[in-house]
Amino acid sequence: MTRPMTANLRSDGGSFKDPAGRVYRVFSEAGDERILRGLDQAAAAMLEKLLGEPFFEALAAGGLVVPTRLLDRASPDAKHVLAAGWSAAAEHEPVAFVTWPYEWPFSMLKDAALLQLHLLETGARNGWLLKDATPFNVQWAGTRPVFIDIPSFISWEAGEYWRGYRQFCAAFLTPLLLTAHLGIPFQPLLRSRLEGIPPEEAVRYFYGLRRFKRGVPSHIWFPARAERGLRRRERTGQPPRARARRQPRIALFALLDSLKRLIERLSYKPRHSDWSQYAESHSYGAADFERKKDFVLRHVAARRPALTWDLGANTGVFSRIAAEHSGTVVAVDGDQEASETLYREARAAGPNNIIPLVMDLANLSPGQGWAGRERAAFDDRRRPDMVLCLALVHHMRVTANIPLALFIDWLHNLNATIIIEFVGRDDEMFRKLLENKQEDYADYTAGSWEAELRRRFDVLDRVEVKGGLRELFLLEPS
Amino acid sequence: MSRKRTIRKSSLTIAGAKRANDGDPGMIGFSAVRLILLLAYVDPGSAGFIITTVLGVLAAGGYLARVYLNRLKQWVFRQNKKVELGEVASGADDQADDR
Repeated sequence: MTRPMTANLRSDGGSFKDPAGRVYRVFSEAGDERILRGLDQAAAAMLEKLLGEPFFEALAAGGLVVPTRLLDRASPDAKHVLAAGWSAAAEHEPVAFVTWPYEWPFSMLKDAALLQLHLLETGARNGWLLKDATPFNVQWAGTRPVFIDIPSFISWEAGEYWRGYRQFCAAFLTPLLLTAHLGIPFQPLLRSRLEGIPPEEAVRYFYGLRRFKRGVPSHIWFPARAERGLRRRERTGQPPRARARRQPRIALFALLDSLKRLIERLSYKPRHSDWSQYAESHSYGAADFERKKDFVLRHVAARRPALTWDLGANTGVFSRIAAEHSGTVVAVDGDQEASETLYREARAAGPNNIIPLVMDLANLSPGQGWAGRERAAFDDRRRPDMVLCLALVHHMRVTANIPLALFIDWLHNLNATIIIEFVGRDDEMFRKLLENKQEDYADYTAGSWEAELRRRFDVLDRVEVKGGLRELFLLEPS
Repeated sequence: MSRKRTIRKSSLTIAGAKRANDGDPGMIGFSAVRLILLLAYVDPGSAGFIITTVLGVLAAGGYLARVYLNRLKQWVFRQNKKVELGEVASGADDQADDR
């Protein structure tokens, strides 16, 4: 069926694979975002039944699935969706900031996997199953994972097998095993393979004695052999074996239970890295560090941003300060250990409105998937209200070789309030960066910095720290 | 054995194309690409039923043992709540409890 786009609905770039529905984003004049979903008749009936299930109500009350409601067909919002050719419309509560699995530290992917298994197990006990198992269906309300693709729940008859198993292993389990057993960061792999790492590829990492590590023989080696066997049979023209595709009910629960126990036991110990120990190893004296904290606190508290980005967050000293007065803080750092530490600490002791991400700031997540729009680029999702860039600029200039003007341009395009720190050339950390460099970065001076800023921003406040070696600025786009 | 057969078959396809087209390298490439495309239609998820059944049945032994051990513990300590299969799991006999 052809479904013409209605002018005031924007189809979500990642919602086209399931023919039974489509997600639309609607923005009010005030800029508030609403998430609507068009559904065909069968999907609408299924959703209506699901929403009335006590187990689903309990999941929603526990915050494990995104709050969802079917819209009255006569409501103005529903009319827009129905006009696009759908039989029914539903509304989901939006998440503060959409993130992708290749941006999550280890424990976030682990918790998302455990949520997926919990939903599968709870659903199956009540006659429902999830038809797929992709981590893109999980988003974050701070440090709490939330399942967002509600129409993935379908009726389950005992005996049907779990078709999402392969996807679960490729996108959740194998990346976790690679990091837990081999110390290989999964983020770059998942970033290039959105559907995850298939068993025939994963098995190549686990050669020799590595193939006997926990979970590898059963969930990587055996599936790889089975798939290879299947391909071989197809090549040799042997007809597929006729079989009844039903399995004992206990097999599903036992498989889910074994996966859950396996994943719960997987651990990743953050090693000492330059950034994971930042709170103890920074170059500030106590008084200067307090002045810097106070500057951040004062300006975040005065503006109370709904969404704050902390770029180069390390273990989140300033993310925590911002979190006190922000709706949500997205704390980005290129160091997996630092983000992992922040996630674990925030999950255990709060604040619970921080989303830690692992991302190289000189190589932000690009638009990915079909037409580059299926998974939006980091800076092409919801724009922040405030951005913290503390002790970052010298790394962008010297380590990443990004000219000052380009970096400041990018910040300006975010159209947000910026708190930024300039590290002068005489600062010992800047001199340390230059130790192994041939280039002198002559353009990196306080004069050119200020000139570039004033071309694009109004400087609302500034304060010197470390005896004038560094300076903090509060900026508004001019 | 079957791997050898596969290689031989692929070689024959290319060799056949070579003979038929008098050694035209373009046609040889075409045949090889065609073979790869045909294999690309094999859904690797087709093995999912076998894999989940084998793994599920293998896991079921330990799983049921834990369920009944928990039930035994509860009986010994006079706890009333029945362990539900699916919390640790659910067998066919517990289907009614779960619904």
